[in-house]
Amino acid sequence: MKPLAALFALAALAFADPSPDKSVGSKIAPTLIDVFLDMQCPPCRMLHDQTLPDVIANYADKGKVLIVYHDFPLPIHNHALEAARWANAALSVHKYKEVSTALFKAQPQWVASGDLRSVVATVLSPAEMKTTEAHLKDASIDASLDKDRQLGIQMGLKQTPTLVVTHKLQTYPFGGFISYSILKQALDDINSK
Amino acid sequence: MKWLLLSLRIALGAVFLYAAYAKLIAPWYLFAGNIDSYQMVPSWASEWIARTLPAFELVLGLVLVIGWKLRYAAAVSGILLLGFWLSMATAYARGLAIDCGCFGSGEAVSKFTLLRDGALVAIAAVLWYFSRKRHAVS
Repeated sequence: MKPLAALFALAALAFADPSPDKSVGSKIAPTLIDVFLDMQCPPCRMLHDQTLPDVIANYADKGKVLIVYHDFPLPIHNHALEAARWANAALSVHKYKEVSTALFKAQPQWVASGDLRSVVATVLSPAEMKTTEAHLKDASIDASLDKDRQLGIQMGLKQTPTLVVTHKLQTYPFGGFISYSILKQALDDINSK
Repeated sequence: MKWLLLSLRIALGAVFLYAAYAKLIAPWYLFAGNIDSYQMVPSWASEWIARTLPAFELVLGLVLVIGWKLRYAAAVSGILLLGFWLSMATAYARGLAIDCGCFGSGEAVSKFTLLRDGALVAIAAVLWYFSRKRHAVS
């Protein structure tokens, strides 16, 4: 990562107050993991479904790391932006994680059909669905997605998924899918510094 | 011809030395992450490759630069580079937008990296061919 970009990104992170709905772990954890995902990218699905649950159970839930999710829908994916909009609209009912998890799990289906609504409806009550749909066109969603995109650009993001681990002002970028066994060793080493 | 082959040998050796240096100055797990993102080998293999390949590249680079056992060094270089090329080509064909991991992190697999690696394979093949024919290359 370029030094100036890293400086900007670190400044943004230092002053950011991540929404509890888009983060997991303690805000005073010594290590921050920024996760940039595109809900239509298959390696993002693998990272979300295979690697992150273990990181959450063994690091975030134990106060060792704070995981912050960022949406980074790529223009090459025709439904990625719509998926990110649904997940962010679900912030209005505090169900971002539930909706994004459902979208990742059903990724092959909605990528083929384009029907995201029915996937989202599986994890929301009718009342929650109504509220979420009402927020789909909110300008605040565009602002939130743009904020994530800008942060990713500042951090020199070239691909999704990307994890940026920050510890004591030092950043460690991991681009692409990474297995838990390697990420675990990385986090143990980084946390010991 | 002699000078051309000498230049190619030193250039190929320098590429391996730089590749090794770029990986060795960073924590091993960043390179392991690059290997993992190809989704071609299990994570234990990614770790093993990440821990051993930079040292191997360092030795290979030194052997090429000094010109020792050139026939074997060129053959090993060619096979290794061909392996890299096949991995990148497979990732590119699968539409994976990933770091190539060639010289540390930060360079995506692209037509350029494929062309560059292909050119290095050709250089290794030329060196192997002429050293096999017992031409003077050092």
